Amino acid sequence: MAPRWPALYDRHGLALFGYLLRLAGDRGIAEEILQDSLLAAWRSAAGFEGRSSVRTWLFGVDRRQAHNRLRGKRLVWVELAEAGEVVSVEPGPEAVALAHAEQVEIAAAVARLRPLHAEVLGLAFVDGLSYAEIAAVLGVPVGTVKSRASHAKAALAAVLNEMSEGRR
Amino acid sequence: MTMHDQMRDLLAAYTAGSATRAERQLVGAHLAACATCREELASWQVIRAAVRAASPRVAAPGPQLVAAVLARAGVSAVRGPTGAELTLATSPGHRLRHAAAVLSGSCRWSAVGCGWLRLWSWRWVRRFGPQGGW
Repeated sequence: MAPRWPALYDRHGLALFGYLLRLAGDRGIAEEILQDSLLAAWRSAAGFEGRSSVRTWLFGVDRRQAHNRLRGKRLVWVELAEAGEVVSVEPGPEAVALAHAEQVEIAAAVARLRPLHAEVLGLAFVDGLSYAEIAAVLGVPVGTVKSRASHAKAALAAVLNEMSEGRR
Repeated sequence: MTMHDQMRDLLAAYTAGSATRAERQLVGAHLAACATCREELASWQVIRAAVRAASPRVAAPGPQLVAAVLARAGVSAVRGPTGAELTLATSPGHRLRHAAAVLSGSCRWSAVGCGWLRLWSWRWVRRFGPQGGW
């Protein structure tokens, strides 16, 4: 039976477009990548084996198309050694830094996150994807997603600490 | 893995609302007794709010985008009875097989074309090319 693509788009279009907008940072480019993604999804639909949800699969197609389009431009796609991403902030001070920061400062810190970290936080908190789903979209093990989320949090705290030291 | 390590993995999912029921129960029971993890949860909630506030909330392109994509794919689409949905004329599997058949057909034809071109070039070389071979 033919899948109802307009219905799929009704259900997932907004989230897929939002994800692309976060990756591309430009509405026009995001629209173009969305078109390419839907076309790629259409062409590869026969190969969809149902190992992930349709939503996760569509996010994965989105990401690959964005990768092709934005490679070498805006995003740092190179999967840097995960160990190199560790920011040495212990959980305690992180919570303190985040609890005492102003909303404006946190927003500024979020804007300074590395794309790999921002992407995981966006997929988790904006799109509501589980770690397992995010892992499927990114094509990495679940453990990598967990460590990226944790590094993202540490990085935010580090930026906030930097900001508060700068004020002193 | 200590309980805190386990919680650290779960608290982000708990905050995002993507934790399973069993995980939510586990976290809920632990939070009632652990101030450190409550602080940890509070910081994830701050991050969640900031990330959501920072992500652009704009409308996605309208359904005409799907029509444009189907047109690019060369698929005929007709309006459904309600006008709200398009009904696809063929299944993606059919389209994929069709595309594959066309592609393999064109490869065969290009192989034939290349063979012919090579033969034609060879004749041209024999006729006009340097005498005494290369």
